[in-house]
Amino acid sequence: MNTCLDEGMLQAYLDGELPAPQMEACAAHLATCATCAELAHEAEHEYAFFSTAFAPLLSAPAPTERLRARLDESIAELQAPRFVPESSTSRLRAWWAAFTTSFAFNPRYVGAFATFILAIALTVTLTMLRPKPAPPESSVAGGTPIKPLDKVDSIVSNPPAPSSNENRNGVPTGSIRVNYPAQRRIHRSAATEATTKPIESQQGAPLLPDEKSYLTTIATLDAAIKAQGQAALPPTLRAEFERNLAVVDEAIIATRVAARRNPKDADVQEFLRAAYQNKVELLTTVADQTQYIAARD
Amino acid sequence: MKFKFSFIITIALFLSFTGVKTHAAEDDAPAEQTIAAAESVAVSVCLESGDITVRGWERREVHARTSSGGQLELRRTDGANTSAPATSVEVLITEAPEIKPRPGQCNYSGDLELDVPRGSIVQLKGRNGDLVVSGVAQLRAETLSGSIELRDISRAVEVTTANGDISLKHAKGRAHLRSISGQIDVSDAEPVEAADDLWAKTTSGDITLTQVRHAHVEAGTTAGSIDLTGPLAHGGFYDLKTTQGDVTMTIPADSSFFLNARVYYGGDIVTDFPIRLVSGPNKEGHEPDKNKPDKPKGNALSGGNLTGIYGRNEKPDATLNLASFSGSVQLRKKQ
Repeated sequence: MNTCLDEGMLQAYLDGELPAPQMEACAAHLATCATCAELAHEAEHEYAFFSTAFAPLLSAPAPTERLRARLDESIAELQAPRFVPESSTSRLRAWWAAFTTSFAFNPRYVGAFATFILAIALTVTLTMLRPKPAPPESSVAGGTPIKPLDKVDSIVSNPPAPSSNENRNGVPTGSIRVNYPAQRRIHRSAATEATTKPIESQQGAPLLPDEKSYLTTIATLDAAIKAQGQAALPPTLRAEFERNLAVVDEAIIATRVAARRNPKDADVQEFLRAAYQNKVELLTTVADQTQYIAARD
Repeated sequence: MKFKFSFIITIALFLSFTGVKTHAAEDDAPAEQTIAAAESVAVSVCLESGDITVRGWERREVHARTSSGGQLELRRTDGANTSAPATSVEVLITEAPEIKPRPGQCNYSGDLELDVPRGSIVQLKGRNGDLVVSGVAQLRAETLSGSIELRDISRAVEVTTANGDISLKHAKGRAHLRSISGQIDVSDAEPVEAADDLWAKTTSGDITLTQVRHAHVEAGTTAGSIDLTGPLAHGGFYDLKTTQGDVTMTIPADSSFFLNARVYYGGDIVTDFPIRLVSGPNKEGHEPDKNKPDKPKGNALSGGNLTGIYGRNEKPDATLNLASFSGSVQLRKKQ
């Protein structure tokens, strides 16, 4: 390389953007060419001057960092084990497994088993010997049936099928129909609501069906960029990406707030989705470039 | 003897000097290559940095020229007989003449000019540099940092730049334009087939669409305004959305359309057209009086949405779906 370096080449050399062979060639040229060395020195001086001048701005915590931390938090919350109400099938299966296991013969449990059988026999004997209580007045057959659990019945959406204790007209033939299942259902749903409500109403709860996948993708891309080192990007491009990231993050926050206020507004959800999509595309571009630069260098 | 020795030294010095000069000249001299090609040849290029200029011409040849020397090769990738015109060509360049270019290599830094047949399908990839393309059939281009200027594309265009503006003029066919940081300008564009759409998206930048005749137009920006000026296509669907900025449509007075306009924070819906309301209470939950059908001009609504019809026909010609999250929506009559 005998001719002097042009401005673009010199800038690219100082920014570390050139491929390795060209970097070496430039360095060799600068070592022998006083004019270019002086230009390089001046450019470095200018760069240092502007770096110092903009240091307070660059070192200040950018909103994107804070937002990123918030996103990370949200992802962590989403990934944390959540309370999932156990299904009746799985509960029944677990109970059956425990029940069958208890019948597995083990010599160590012979004493305990014998005591258990004895206790059952004693309870049955005492129950049979105890005098039967008089039936309550409200359930006397043939009288006007009194339904103390009318409230409970009314909550059940489907009218209950005549039980075995009722005749075809629904009149009790024996005792009061105590609708325990319905009562239990009410209690269980209340309990479920109580335990799940804090999760659903938390700030990071998904507002879009695919929000979680967006957040996961963003976290993955973020991690990839951090691993490769975003500093490898040319400063001007990095600044541009940071600026755009701030714009997109701002849009995500604004649209998310609106979506939370109007959960059924499809337009707001579309804005939120577009903002997430923008962020994913932006981070994908940055990740691609950092990976490319890392591979090249 | 002394004379003989000094003569030899002089000759040697002269030869070495001229040799160096020649070598330097080889390094910096523009390299050129030409290859016979079919009218619809596929041409692909990848550069590390530098501007790429592609021009369509009437000849059945692909001609490439680099600005700063190096080795240039137009490699056929169609695997066909070498005597037949090429249907697929890859432009390969290296910095130094002694280095043989390899397929898929993108490490050349320098400007490149290409002349290709007008029916060409061009694929460009660059990291840093501007792309200027005119007079080709199809283009797919991607650059990381640089503007993209396109003109007279006759069938389809699909371009992406991470940091730079996109300009498309006198284009036909499908157009997909994507910039992350930059504005997008489209003027005088029309479809070739009914399915051809115009799709323009940028994250931060304005979008300006002038005289676009596609039946499906979709434009979106996160931070920027969207302007569309020109007649509506029959059966057209226009979906223009911005998060921070205004959406403005300037259309002829005799247009006929179904409007669904939506603004959220601090924005207004302003229309020169007396819209017949279909539905759409504003955010306070009552219908705005100013948008009653008989109001002739200057209808405005602060916040909320406006859904209605304009035009003599019961069945409108086009559908306008306009939304701004924190800006205004304006529907203007073209004077």
